[in-house]
Amino acid sequence: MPCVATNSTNARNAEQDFRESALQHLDGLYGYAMTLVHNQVEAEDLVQETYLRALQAFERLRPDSNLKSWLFTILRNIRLNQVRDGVSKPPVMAMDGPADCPQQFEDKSAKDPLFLYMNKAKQADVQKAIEELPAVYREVIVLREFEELSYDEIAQVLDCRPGTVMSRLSRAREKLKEKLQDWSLATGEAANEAGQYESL
Amino acid sequence: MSRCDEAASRIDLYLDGELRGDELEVFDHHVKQCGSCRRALSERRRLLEQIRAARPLYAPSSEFRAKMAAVMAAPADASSGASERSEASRTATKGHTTFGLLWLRSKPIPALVACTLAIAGIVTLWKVSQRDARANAFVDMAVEIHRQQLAGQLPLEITTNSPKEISTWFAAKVPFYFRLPASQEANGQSQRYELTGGRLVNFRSTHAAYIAYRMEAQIISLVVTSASTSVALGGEETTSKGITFHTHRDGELQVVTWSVHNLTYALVSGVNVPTRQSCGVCHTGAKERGLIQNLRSLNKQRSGGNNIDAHVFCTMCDEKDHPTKL
Repeated sequence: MPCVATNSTNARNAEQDFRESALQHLDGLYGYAMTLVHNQVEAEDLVQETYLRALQAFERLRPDSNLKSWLFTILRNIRLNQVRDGVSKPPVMAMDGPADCPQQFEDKSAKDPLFLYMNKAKQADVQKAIEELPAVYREVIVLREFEELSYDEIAQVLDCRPGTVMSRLSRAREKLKEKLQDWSLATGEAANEAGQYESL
Repeated sequence: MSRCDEAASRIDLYLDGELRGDELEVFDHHVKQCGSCRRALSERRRLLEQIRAARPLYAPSSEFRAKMAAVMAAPADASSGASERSEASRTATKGHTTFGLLWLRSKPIPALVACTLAIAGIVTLWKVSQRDARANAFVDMAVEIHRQQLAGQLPLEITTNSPKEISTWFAAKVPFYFRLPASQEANGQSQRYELTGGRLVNFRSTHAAYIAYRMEAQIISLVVTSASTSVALGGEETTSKGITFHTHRDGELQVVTWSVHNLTYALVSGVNVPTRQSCGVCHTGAKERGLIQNLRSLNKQRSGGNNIDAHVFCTMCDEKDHPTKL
């Protein structure tokens, strides 16, 4: 009997840990959902359903599994099923911008507000450039640059080979570079960095 | 494939931390030797930094955040087993009813109490953490702005030594009422502190007021925002006449923050500038200087001759004297 009680306690603790850990990925999941559906209501439904399914299945999650990529995989699979079943429209390729999804540009680091102030327009242009990418590239940019998933983790989410992730990511970055080419990406700042290679 | 072509094909892998072992060593060695590949690497790194600086593209609303927190906060022992939990989840998924709501239906009284407590706890913790983060961010911002001013990298948008002109200039630009004291002009006394100007700075998606002063070779910075944007917290606390002052140290700088009359202030100066002198930017009249001196003497008596501290000077900042009284 004590063993049963201990097991039960462990299970409850594990579930509680899972709930808390999973919730830490809310922002990332919502951002990824918006990338896929471009609609606040649909994105919220998608995230909520992801959490509910994760709650059902977390007992099957191995301790060494990556919770974050697992959650993103669930979300993407739900979305694929929605599209397949005709429940929802396929991903929209273009959008009007962030007006329908209130953004909260909270400066969490707050280390350089003046810099942020002066570069706000540039930041908005980068966001616009990302939003204008074809979905296949936008998705991989969000997973890598924003969510910082590894190639293997992205491959798991997208159900493809890591090599495919690498090539998609490279093309996505090239497209962004083209869009942003008017900016001083390769001017003095880059040259200065080149001279500071010691930090590599 | 030349070595440069090979290196170019691996720049993304390198920056993404995907190169390991021999591949990493070969890449590293080549880039150290090759200037053009170093430049290509730097350009790519800069691009990635710009992309990453654009995040987040989207952020969940506070309502949705609270809703999901409530769903995920349901205690593990609330449902009697996996089957019940699974059934609840399935039903919730179909009808957009949350798992928590189903659980609440099955055990209405304890569930309601637990849910209420959990939500209240989460909301309280979230609010506290947000408030603390905003206070820290305000201090960090003030320090950074001050450092930029010291480095000559922060051009003032209005240059004047007139408090009235500064107040008028800010009136239509900041989302709060802000008025510098006119005592400097009225009393005609010689000034130890010279107002040099001001500018807008960005903080939490709104404008804050930055005001620069010069005292001999020292620059003193005052940043003002609304108390709804940030409050003064943390640091070494001293309270005087109902106002709590928070003294922070950041390297060679000292920051004193306080909130009063719906405004929050950060005063930044070098640590070698006694706080009483910093605070003199708001209280420069002869009468006030005399009061400062009296307070300084009093404090020395109390502290056995040590330097004056923040709270002695700031005993002046009561409702009657404070320059930004509304």
